[in-house]
Amino acid sequence: MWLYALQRFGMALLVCVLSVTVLFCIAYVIPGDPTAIALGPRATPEMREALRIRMGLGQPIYMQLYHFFSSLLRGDLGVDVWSNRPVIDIVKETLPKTMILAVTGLGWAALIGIPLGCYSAVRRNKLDDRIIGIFSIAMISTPSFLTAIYALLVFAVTLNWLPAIGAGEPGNFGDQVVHLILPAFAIGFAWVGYLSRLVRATMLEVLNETHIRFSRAFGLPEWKITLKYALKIAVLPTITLLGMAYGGLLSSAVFAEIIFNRPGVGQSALAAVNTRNYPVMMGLTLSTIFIFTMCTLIADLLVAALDPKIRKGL
Amino acid sequence: MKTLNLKRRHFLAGSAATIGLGMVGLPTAWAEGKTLKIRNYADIQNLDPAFNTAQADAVITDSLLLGLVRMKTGTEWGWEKEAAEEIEQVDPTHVRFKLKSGLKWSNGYGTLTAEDVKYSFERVANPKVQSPYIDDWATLDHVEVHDELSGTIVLKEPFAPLWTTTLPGWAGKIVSKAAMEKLPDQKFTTTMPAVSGPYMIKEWVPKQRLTLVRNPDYTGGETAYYDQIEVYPIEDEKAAEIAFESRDLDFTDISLSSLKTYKDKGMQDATITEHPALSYVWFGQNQENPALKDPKIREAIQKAIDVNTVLDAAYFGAATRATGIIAPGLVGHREANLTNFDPDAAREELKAAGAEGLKLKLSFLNKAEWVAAAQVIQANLADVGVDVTLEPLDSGTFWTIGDEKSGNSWKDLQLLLGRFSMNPDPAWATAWFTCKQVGVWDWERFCSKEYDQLHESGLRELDPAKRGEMYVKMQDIMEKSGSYLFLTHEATAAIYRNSVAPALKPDGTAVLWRFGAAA
Amino acid sequence: MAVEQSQSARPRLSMRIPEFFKDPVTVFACCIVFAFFFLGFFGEYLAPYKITMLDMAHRFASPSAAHWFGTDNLGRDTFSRVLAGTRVALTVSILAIGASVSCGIVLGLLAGYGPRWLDNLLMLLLDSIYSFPYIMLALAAITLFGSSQFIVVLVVAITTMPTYARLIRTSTLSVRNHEYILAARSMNIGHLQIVLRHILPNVIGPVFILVSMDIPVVITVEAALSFLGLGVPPPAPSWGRMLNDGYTLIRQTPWLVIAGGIPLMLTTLGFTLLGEKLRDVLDPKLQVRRA
Repeated sequence: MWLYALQRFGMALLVCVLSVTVLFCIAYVIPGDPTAIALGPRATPEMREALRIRMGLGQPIYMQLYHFFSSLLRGDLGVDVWSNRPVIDIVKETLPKTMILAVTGLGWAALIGIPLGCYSAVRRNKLDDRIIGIFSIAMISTPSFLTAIYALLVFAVTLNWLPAIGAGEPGNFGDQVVHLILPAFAIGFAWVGYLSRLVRATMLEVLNETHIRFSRAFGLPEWKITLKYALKIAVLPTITLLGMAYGGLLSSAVFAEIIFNRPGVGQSALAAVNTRNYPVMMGLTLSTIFIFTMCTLIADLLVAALDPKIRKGL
Repeated sequence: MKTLNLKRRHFLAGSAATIGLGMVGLPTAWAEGKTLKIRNYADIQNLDPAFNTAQADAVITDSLLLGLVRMKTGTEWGWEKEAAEEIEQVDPTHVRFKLKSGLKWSNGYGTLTAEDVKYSFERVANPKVQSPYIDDWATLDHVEVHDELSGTIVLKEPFAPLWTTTLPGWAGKIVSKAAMEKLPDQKFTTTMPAVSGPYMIKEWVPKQRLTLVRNPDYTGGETAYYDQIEVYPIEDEKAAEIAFESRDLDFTDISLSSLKTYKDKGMQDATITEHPALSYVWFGQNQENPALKDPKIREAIQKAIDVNTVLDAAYFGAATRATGIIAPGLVGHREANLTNFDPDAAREELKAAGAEGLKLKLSFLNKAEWVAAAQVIQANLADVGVDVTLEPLDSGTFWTIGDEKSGNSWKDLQLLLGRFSMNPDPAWATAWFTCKQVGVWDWERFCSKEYDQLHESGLRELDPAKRGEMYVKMQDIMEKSGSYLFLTHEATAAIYRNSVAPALKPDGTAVLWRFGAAA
Repeated sequence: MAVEQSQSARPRLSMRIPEFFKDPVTVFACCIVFAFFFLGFFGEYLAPYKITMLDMAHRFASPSAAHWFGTDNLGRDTFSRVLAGTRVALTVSILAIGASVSCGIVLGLLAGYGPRWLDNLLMLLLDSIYSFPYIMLALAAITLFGSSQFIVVLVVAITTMPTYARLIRTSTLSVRNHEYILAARSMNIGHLQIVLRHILPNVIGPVFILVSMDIPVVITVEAALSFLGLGVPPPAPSWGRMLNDGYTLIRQTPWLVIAGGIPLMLTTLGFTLLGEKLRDVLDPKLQVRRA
């Protein structure tokens, strides 16, 4: 188990390094001179040259890469080209907002989707299962940006029940929660469907297995079988899915962030690319890639720890 | 040369997501009690007036620092005294000023003196400081200090934009010499060491909110109405409109595409204002591109485009057709265009030039307005037999596409939609199309000796009537080259609660600290 | 891991066909999918108007007999654009899935059948692609090469490819040590032949199910990219771009968002229903996970 964990961890780190290297090369080749953009049209060639040197842009790419990684090891992500603020501060400001959004979005989706899936599995092929099924699939089929637009127009603009934009007053917890509702609703919507379908499918599989059939033969009540035995096993793939979903949401939350104007990682990274603010872009993307790989890693390890079959197989 | 407007341009170049059309950075707000909540189109990056990155910075700096004079709010461009008690141009190269007494710096930096004025202006003009606004003081020799409160600005040569844009603009803001000298490099970004204006920063939560409160030491006379101004950086105009509708803001600029709808719908407790903007939008053709080398072809293309339809598609009838790059109300505004929409003539001229079946590429910024405009142009040109491919670009790419230093894309550039913002002096419009600017900001690669000469003389001519003629001539030269088709100066629109009395410059730019309550 | 597959016998489709069509929901799904393909190929010819025909006098028209879905900001007929947009969605999804399936199969077979080091290397590569935010990839590709349908296809193909590669790899790993493979090897049959003749047919089944479930994902990704302005360039009538226009112009007309959103939702609904059904019928143990 420990060896497996160590291997997976090493792999995850390598993935990060590779992705970041690719990202770095992308930044190197895409057109648009960061110094022209950062300094604006009034900059003289000398000023641009000075900034170029400060940003280390004149060097060959492998040297830039070396400097990037060596300062990364020291915990230094560089500074924002425009405001001179350390990128690490920008990551600290934006990342938690996106993480909270992703957790809340997936959280409500899991709270509704998993029980719905169980219920569907127990009532397999009955009318209510089919209705839930169609609704789940309809939810899966709705792109999150569409949900976000409609939610914004209905709940914020037309009904005026919830705030439309921003992340809430800094320091005011209640206000921040209120601002979280719509974006979390939008990004979690499709996941209700995914989760209910996945849990249903896994449950059906498990409910068919021998030991469950045994329990049934012993006359255990159906609800007890469902909750106590079947769900326990069916939850494993759900964990893997949630781990990946969480990581993936960090980048796909960008739609909700744009539509609701939340200052999160996705929105900021997009703006950084457009302004060729490379240090900020690298810092933000690196942090999402890192969290994504860590989430899948943790999910895998958790499943391995929970599932005796997989554990033995290692 | 220097443009004032660069700021806006800069902003354009910089703040990608937001850039579109009506972006003057008007604030939005909500006033509850004596708090005003307004929108800024971007977060602050650098409040140092010598290094403001965009209008989003300048609009804040404006409430924190004083200048000798300031721009008037209202519908006519002009200046009025601010920190100066007296100020006069004694001859074309000397401006004498006397400061009001008792203006104080915060944080115990004493009173605002003529030394501060000298330090501030000479700092911007000093090439070593590398201020992007150095050209605002292009002909500054030095500032002579007579006593604590009075002095003389000495120029090497007359400088026409001095009163229109330099003194009342960003380069005319006064910083505290004592406070600046304590800073490493004598520079700051977002923490201002000493303020003299009506407001000071209470708190800045990056990307979320900037709170201004009254400066208790302010003794400039006119006091601000609001105890507190909360500035929310919201890049997307649509998001700002929604925030206004859901009452999160009390004042915001709105997109021109929404203007008509707001007007039709009518907002009960809100007022809409419209202002002609100064910016200029044009359709350009790279005259060095092999496909467009023949001026006959460029002229035919000029005639093939139905500007009114293009504007209707992009601005929903909220913007009128421009006659040049200098907006109405400014010296040098031109009365009429030389060429007009004439697709039949265009078709024939193309045939005569042997350019049938011409294939071209139109590059533009990937924003809704440009996409709409580009599609109309594409249809117009298809009508005369020119096949146009559309190339929408993100702002990072677009703003360097014609720059020789940023790669080779300037060679492939053929057609483009351009938009520069502008400060209220004609020199800031013409500065970008001189021979020196070819491959820098002049992406049509237009170059005319006569034009360059007129531009130089225009800077030194202090008589507005003579100056005006020069600028009209320059726009004629541009249009005759075939490389330019002037589209519009745009417009700006804002919406605000009836309880607010906004203070806006003639182009709709907000002056935060002068916002008041409606009677 | 994107996909897990338990060992199951190869699907016997013929036996299940009647069952398949007994279900009205499935019939509905098949109708949508059929309509999607039909309109994708022929929609352009059925369109009542030319999709680039501007008519500024009649923009933002509400649905009427002349314009069934109304008109857009340039007065173009929305119904015609929706029909033509089907072609874009179809082309992008078919090309992208085609490319990603073929690369996925090749890489998956290499990883599953090849030496351990190659497997590790490929897995590292696939994980890296998987963890890379696709929006960043799209931004970079479009900035670099300009926006075009080809780039959209490329981006979508790269981002979905790891799912297929992993699916194939997992299946390959589980069959590579079966007796018949070992037997083939002992008979000195070349690796290529073993892979093509004996492994591929055994592992390819689940890919079909995954494809039908991935088409809606691909269509959505294309729409999402277009929504960010990164998709197929104008004036091509992509549904995502129509949604983007609709969002920007929501105050002028609600019809654009509706007209762009409904075909998108219906198509994804149809394919997802069908995919689920296919999976239920053919291979109930296959679990597809998507992020």
